[in-house]
Amino acid sequence: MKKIVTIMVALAVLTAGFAFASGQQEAEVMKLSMGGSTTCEPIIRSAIEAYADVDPNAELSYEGTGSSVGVQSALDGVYDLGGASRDLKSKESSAGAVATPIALDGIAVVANNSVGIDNISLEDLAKIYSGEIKNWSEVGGADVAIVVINRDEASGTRAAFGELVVEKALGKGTEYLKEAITVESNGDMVTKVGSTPDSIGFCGLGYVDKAISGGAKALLVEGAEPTVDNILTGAYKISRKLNIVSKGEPAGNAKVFIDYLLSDAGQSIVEDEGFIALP
Amino acid sequence: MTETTKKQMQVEKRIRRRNLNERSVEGVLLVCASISVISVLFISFFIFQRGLPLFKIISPAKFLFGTDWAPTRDPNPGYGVLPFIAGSLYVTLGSLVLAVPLGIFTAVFMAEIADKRIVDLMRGVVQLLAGIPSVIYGFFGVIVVSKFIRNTFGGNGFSMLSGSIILAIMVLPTIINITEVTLTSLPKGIKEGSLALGATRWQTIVKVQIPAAKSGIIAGVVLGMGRALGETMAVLMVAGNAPIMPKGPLSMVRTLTMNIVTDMGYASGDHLTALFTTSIVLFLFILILNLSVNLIKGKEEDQG
Amino acid sequence: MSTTMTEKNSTGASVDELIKSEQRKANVHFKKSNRANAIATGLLWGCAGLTLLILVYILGFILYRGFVSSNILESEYIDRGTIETSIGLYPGSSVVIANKDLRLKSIDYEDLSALLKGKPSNWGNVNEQDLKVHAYVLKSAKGDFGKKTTFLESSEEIAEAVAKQDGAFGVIPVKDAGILKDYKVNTISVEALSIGVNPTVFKIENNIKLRYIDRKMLERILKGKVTNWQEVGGIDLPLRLILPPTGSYEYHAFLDIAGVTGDKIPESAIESRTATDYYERINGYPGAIGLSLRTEGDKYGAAFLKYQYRKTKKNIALWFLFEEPKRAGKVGGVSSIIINTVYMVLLTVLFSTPIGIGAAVYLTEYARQGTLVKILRLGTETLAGIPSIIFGLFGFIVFVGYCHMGVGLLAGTLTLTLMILPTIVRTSEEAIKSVPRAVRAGSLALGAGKWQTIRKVVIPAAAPGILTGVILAIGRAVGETAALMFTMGFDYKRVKNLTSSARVLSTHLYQLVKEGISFDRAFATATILIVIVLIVNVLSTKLVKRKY
Repeated sequence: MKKIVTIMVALAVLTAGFAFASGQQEAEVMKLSMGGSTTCEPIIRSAIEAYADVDPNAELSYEGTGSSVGVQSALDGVYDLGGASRDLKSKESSAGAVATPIALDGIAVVANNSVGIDNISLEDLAKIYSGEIKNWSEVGGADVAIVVINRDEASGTRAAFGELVVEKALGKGTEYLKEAITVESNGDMVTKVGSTPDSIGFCGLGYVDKAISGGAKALLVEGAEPTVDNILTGAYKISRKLNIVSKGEPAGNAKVFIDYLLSDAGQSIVEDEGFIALP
Repeated sequence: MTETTKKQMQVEKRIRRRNLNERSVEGVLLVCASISVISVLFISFFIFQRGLPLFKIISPAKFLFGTDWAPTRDPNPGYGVLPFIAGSLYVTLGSLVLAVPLGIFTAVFMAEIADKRIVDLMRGVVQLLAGIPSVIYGFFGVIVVSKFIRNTFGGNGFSMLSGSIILAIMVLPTIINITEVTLTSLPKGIKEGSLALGATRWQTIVKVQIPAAKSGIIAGVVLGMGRALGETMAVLMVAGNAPIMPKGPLSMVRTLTMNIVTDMGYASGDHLTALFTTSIVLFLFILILNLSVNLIKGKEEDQG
Repeated sequence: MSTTMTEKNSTGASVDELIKSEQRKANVHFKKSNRANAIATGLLWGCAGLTLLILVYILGFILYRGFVSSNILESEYIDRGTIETSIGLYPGSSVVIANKDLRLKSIDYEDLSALLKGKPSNWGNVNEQDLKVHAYVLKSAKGDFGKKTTFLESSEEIAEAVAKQDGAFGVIPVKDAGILKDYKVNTISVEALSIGVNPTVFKIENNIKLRYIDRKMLERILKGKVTNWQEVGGIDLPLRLILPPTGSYEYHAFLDIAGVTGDKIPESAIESRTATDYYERINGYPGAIGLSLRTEGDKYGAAFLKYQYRKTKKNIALWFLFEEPKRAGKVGGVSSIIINTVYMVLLTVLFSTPIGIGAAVYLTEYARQGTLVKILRLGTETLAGIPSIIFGLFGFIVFVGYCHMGVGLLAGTLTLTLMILPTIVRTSEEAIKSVPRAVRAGSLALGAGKWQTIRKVVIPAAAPGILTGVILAIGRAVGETAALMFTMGFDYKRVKNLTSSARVLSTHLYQLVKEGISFDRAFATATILIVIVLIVNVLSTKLVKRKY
């Protein structure tokens, strides 16, 4: 019993100790609280770490909470800056949100290694995701059913894919096939495509390596491989901008950090993280 | 005053102080015990406060019995959660069907048959597994279980059955642990009495020990059921997560929890409210289950 | 019945016979029940065995993946490095050396030339080590170099600089390799061999295009067993194997990979006398293939086929425990995350154990059966049934929002406390209930007060059970993700105070898997988690055993 009490007391002292240790904070340091898109997260987290070389006292933070939350919180003032892996909606722009592109990202179409084909046209791809094509033989593969894997209803990548592929090829308002395996993250997507025979999915360019290591391959779209060069030349058609969002034009600390992201150092971080630097 | 009366008074004083002490201790303990109830009340209040406003734009019947979930469709979004209710029910029941017999038998084995070394080993393993994050189970499910289902039963491997199996594995530690603790803490006399009356070991276990441990076992199952119903990450990865009505054990399924966590990070506006409304359904669900189990238990205790 | 018996007896049936028949019946019954017993025991063994098998399998799966990483990689280079390679920096071959602390055994030519160009500036992308890149070459070196590459006079200077500087590597001509034994540096093998093919191989027909070949396909091709690209997943095009000039680097690699000796070279192969011949043929003949040194192939504008192979290596190592995570966990280890986890567990136990035990004591010792107890019990059971995701939402609304704690350690641990409270209450209750009445009666009879009895007698007697509950609860807390997602945050730096956002092992794991950052690291983290739970279990079991 005594021992337990001792342990408890020790714990309490410990807690108090490190609560106190934090009490002192210096004024006049650069502080930014940021959050939003999980796609932007690796870029901004690495940029925060690298920024310590520029200003070791800066207190910068980023929470991966999703694009919509990022934009909304930037407007509400919860975050100084929000990350968004999609373009602003008209509602958001009219509320005063301003998006600054910081990088480009391609969306790669990945398929399990068991899938016989290597190339697919945008139209066929759209038909697979709208449910019109249900068998690989219809696009030149073996006679087996296509296992369609889609992202969740509210994902920015799903929205971008829908706009750039499904709606572009089959007209506005075309809906996704409902009977699709739905995953809520890029990580889950590559795991599933890699482990499920006859499956097809899509993910950010930076995840292609992971997809390959799990047993999948990136399909060519309209004959173009999803590479940085092809995206920059426009040969590979499925790409989007990654934005950082501020309320009104960025100013003060926010502008300092955005400028850092757009500098050579910032853009080389973008490349290191598997995204495409702005041309 | 005589010596004795003085002493008596002292003793009385001490007793009075102790009584006061006792009473304050009782008060503090009561506070401790009521924290659970208070939390439950708070939780329900806040969930309802956030979720109920959805019924301003859609009728409860349409929400509960609708099968169309398309909250980001613009215009006229769909907010039907019947598929998820069905999904949660099926997956949880499936997992209990698999886990309860296995868990109880294993616990009986540990408590009654196995020798100490095996028990120690099993207990260690069981406790380790209780501490593994569900993401890992999910990952395991994707790589091993769904493949197993695909190769044995067909389909694409991401199904109600896969979800049930993973959940069964996840609730096993809870059921085993609590059943075993209850069985071993039964008074020895019960078992010895039964054996002395000529009952076999099996008879003793089935007819005497398990009934005697019933309340503990039910508690274990309820805890397990809670974990199964509320589990998110692992089922999320193996059950397919398609927002459709489940058609059979090999059909893809989305549960209530999966629905909440799938959209939570991104949702805003009515969509977000709809997720809180989904959590109300989940919450009521668990409340009803708990109440009915309590009723059953109460009845049995009355009879006993 | 009894009348017939008496009648039988009276009619002269011997009593002995009767007894025997009864005995027989009893025997049959006994045997039957014995058999039932055996079946039942077998069933129990079976169930327990199955459970153990499942659990051990999962555990084994995680631990195996934690210690061994096995990934499929795609590269334009064959996984066949050599220490002395012609990489064009100096006339003849070169040797690449690196600082001892750099975890690097081999590197491919593309990465090497990129590093010399100064991109990337950090080793993270190459070998997941968070170190700045420092490159050293001789002044006479030819090629494309970045601003940060240092040029030195002699190989000795390079070796010395590399030995001293963290994250340094250098390239020296092979003729100077003899000096290396005097310096503390590692030599790095360079993968510079590619599979050169004629560009026709990459045509797209019927949605099919050759993407890569693996080791087996390559072997079959080099042995002359493949005559059409269709056989290895390509389009319908005859395959022409070009043979490197005898004695060249490519030639030896060819023999080595094909696993043949000089006299067993496939007859179908097209011979070439000089290097120029060789590379011109690869580039000129439709459907041609030949092993190519990258530096040579580039000169003739050859196309290169991707090579896919499985790389198995050691995954978790001691450094993983002691390095700070960097770049969202892609680089570095988990040291700060372990510390955060320890803080979280300590705080959670500190909050929940006293409350939990208190509640259990009240429910078992003080409360009289009645509505109040029913409500309290119902509350505990309901709380136990509430999904962790709802706790997460609640914590987010109340602790983070209304109480202004912000997303951080305190909000997270309070949420966890509520979540694990029922587990502690239930197990403590069972443990306290199982303390024999006599123990209590004894203490009370000796004049101890009720609280005194509980504190000094009942709780210590129930301690092992309570401890089991706490351990169970710690297990649940350590593995919890859903409740922490919205309350504790994901900052992977060491927590500074109670309100700072803190990433713990489980949420780190979740991020690694969810964002697909690294599955190897995810399993390594899971392994650490398991080991922590194991340590807690073993320690507490020992504690219980020693005291009681």
